[in-house]
Amino acid sequence: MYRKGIMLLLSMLLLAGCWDERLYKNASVVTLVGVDGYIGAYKGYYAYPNTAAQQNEVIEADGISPRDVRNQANLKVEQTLDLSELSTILVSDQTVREPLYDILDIYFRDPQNPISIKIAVTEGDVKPFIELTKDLAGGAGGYYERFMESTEENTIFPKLDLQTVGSMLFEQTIDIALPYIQLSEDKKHAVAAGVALFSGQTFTGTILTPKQSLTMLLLMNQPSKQARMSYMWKHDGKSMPITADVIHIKRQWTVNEELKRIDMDYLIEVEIEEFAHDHLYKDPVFKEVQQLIQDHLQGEFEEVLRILQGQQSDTLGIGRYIRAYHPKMFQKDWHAVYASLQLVPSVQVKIIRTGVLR
Amino acid sequence: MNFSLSKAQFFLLLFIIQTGVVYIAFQTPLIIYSQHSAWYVFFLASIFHYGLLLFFERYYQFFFLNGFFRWVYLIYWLLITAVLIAYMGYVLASWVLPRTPEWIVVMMIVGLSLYANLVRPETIINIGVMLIPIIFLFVIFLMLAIPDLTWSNLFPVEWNNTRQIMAGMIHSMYAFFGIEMYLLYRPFLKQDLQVKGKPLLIYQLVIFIFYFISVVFTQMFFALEEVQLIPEPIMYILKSQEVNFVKRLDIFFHLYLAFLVHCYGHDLRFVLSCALFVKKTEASETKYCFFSSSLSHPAAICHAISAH
Repeated sequence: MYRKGIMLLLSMLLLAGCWDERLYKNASVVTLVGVDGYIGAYKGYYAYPNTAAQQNEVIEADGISPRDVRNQANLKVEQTLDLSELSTILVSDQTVREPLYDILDIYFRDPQNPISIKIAVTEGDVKPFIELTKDLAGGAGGYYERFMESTEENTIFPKLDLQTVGSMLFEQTIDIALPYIQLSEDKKHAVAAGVALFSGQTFTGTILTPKQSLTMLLLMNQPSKQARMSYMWKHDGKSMPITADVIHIKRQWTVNEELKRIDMDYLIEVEIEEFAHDHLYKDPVFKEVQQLIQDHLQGEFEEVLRILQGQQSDTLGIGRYIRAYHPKMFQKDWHAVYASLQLVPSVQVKIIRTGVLR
Repeated sequence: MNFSLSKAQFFLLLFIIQTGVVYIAFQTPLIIYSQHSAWYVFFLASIFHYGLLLFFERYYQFFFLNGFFRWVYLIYWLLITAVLIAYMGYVLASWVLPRTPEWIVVMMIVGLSLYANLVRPETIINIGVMLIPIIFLFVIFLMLAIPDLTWSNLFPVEWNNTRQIMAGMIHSMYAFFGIEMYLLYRPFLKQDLQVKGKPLLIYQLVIFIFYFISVVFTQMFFALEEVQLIPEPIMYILKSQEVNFVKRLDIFFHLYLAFLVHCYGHDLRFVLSCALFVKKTEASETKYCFFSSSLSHPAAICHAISAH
């Protein structure tokens, strides 16, 4: 009897998990968050699915901090907002002119918030980007998550999540480049417009176009599933498009500490995916096409490096490399040193495949 | 207490006592103090640990606690158990059970521990077997973080910064906390079994790799400035991994750690048996087990309350 009593008491204690039970049916499960404004005057947007109406509800609130905005939003919903299924955060380009960590702190501090989620910068206010998800049958956050993942696969957006962004925000030696999205002309869907360059925790105001963004990712040696480049080949007075996909990159950086010069050698192996002229089996044509891609890439590499240095945005992580392998050259105020470095790219392109046609 | 240990049981007990809640927390102070050099400082500390194991193995038969030091050792172990339970309660409250009253969480850990203290020794010895698959899973799930690791965070290696190395050595030793139990367990090993040589080296390699992975992963996963903000880096790494079958991997392993803390509790029995009651009766041993376990619970609760 005594033993049974103890067992009963213990069983009751084991029901202690009930204190921390959180049922989705009792919460508004937010999948997309939008942030506008600055410290003291934030505006937040929370999109959550309304299963009865088969669409997404959007709640808007103001507050002095991101947490305060959420508290204010809670006053407007029938069930408390729950961000444990959050998949995307959108931040306006004006908001990221202030340190980005200010709005991200609450996501890192609360263990219930997922940190393997996507984050993007919007052109102008966030509101229209949130509202376009209203009529979607699926989750609003899922739409942007899929959109960004597919753009990552095309080597336009870097592969980032909230955790990797947070990690880089604390480092002097590398900067982030966040996905930058704009609205299509009909305002019905989002368009990948390149990447927003950061220097430290703040947005520089400079956007790399999708093509420049792809070049930046090649410089970072981060080609994804597809990394396609298209150029016009001019021959005998005719123009012919040619598209190449990057298969593999070999990168070697040689640092001259005295001259503060880095020779950046890249060997890029590509596959030809489009070339209606054909005849790649002819050596002169093959070499001419290879040279054409190489010349274009060389120019693009130089252009992107010039922009990155001009904005003091070390997205390539040159600072990390220098700190690790040339510590004497590394200085605490890395951005200033980075801007004064002599970066000399040298690209060699090798066509290793031509599809199933020659 | 009449029992004998096989080689596997002996090393498993030692492994459990040497890991536990320290595994999720010691990396942060180590990296803060020894910066980029943390990984090799830990390597040096583990060589020192191996030296200690060899030393203990050679001279364990001469180890004897007099009456005074038996009590000192008992109080020391009791305090460690109380602190670890309190810390685990705090970690669980921050990460997993924010609304569950802390005394309930402490009661659950300690209740299990009390049970373990009162059952037959064989049950306690073999309880660690349940942890073996979880240890493997723990390491496998940590491996999911490999794509997010930054290798250059391990460099530059500074050999000439003695202060960093010394501070790092002290914090590395937290990982090998509990090594003194070797001296207490060793006499219970079956007479004809040998542990010096290969078995001891294998044990050293296993515990070194288990801890070294955690140090290296923490160093490569977080920026130096960032790691200062994260008191439980291993849990943070697990939380940032996405898997299909569970929303948060860290919750899974918090339970494992709570179980390890309970194991610390049940080791009280060994401490009591070995240090205090070698010549006393089974009845008095049980009575004092109950007494000391009960003592560690309010101590842990008080510690948890004061931490708040």
